[in-house]
Amino acid sequence: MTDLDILNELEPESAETPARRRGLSLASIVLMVGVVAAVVVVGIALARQQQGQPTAGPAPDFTVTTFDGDTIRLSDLRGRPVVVNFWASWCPPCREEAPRFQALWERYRDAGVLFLGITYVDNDADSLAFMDEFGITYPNGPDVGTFISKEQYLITGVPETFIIDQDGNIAEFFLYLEDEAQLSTTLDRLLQAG
Amino acid sequence: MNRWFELPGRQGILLPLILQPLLLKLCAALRRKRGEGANGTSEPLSPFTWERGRTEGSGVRGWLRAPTAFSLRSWRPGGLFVLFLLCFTMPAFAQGALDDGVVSADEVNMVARRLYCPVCPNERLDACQTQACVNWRSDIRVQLEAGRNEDEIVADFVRRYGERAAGVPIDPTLNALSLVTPYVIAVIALAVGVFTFLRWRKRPTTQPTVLTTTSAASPPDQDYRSALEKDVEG
Repeated sequence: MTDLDILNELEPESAETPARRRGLSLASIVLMVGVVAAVVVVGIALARQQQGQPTAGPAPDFTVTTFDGDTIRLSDLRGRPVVVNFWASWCPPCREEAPRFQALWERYRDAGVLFLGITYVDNDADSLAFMDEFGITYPNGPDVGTFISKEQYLITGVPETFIIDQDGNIAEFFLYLEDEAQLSTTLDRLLQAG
Repeated sequence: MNRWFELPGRQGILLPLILQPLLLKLCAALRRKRGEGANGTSEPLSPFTWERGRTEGSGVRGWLRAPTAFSLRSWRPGGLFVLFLLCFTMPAFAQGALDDGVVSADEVNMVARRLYCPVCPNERLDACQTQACVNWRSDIRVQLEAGRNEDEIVADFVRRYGERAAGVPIDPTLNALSLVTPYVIAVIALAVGVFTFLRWRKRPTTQPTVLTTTSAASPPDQDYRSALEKDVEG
């Protein structure tokens, strides 16, 4: 009898042993799904962190109700440059740049430029007091639910300012208005091009 | 302001319930001191039934021991009435503290604990010292003074400043994931539980192991051994 014959004889006995389970166990599958889900969540969070403010291309459209009760929609302002300034009364740099924005508004309003202030997580009463303090007369309104600032323009803080050209594209973005020339240069260029 | 008065209704009700046994023990002790029920009879000293025999035998005063069982016969209507009143007086004190128009920093911080700084990442409002947080806390104070409760104030902040104010992820995908994940985990856990149970039910009952003759003395093994011996011998 050869070894093969012996093994063949032994085989029926080994067939009685339970067959090894094939594939992954339920616990392994659950674990893998958990790991994949965790990777997806972390990936989305990282991707979100990498996203910055839109500095070029079409400006996200939004509608804001001003403190005066007027409703302004950005897309309705096509054909004229728009300066969108995010600010808050509790923000010290906003206090510094507020008089400059008001001065520029007074200078460019007749040229067709619209200044639009949007308050970010600020109490309405504090915002109005801030506007009174600096004599701000251009339209301002709260970003209710922080949808405009956090969902559309992805601001990282205040102040932040977007200059939108006549075609509705973002022409320039800056964090802080150091002097009036910084903004007037861009506005002059847009008005000449328009 | 006394911190006891800051307890909201549900917690306020717990307080008299905690104090209730202590109060009863105190009453029993006073009665015992006056001589009531101290003659070794089975009459209990309080609305609870005490294991007097054991406690006296062990040298421990009965009223110091925990009650072992309730006895309906021994409930005193007067004591019950006092306890019933106590259950409602504590929340009434808490309400009075909010109604008097003076809101403490602790009360403001209790609400602020549920909100997050709009500027600093992952900083709770009660711990943040930025001007934005100071403004928000004063806003909370104004709303508390106006009679709004904690949930109403948080809801108002979420409406005005977004869900981020309450620490909910801004990203819609993450937000949806955070909402769905607990349910998914629950469903998976349920499925695993049901699957395990069914597999356990289907498993055949274990039969006693029958020793077969195919062991060391079996013919194949003997053949193999003899073949092996032949090979070794050459």
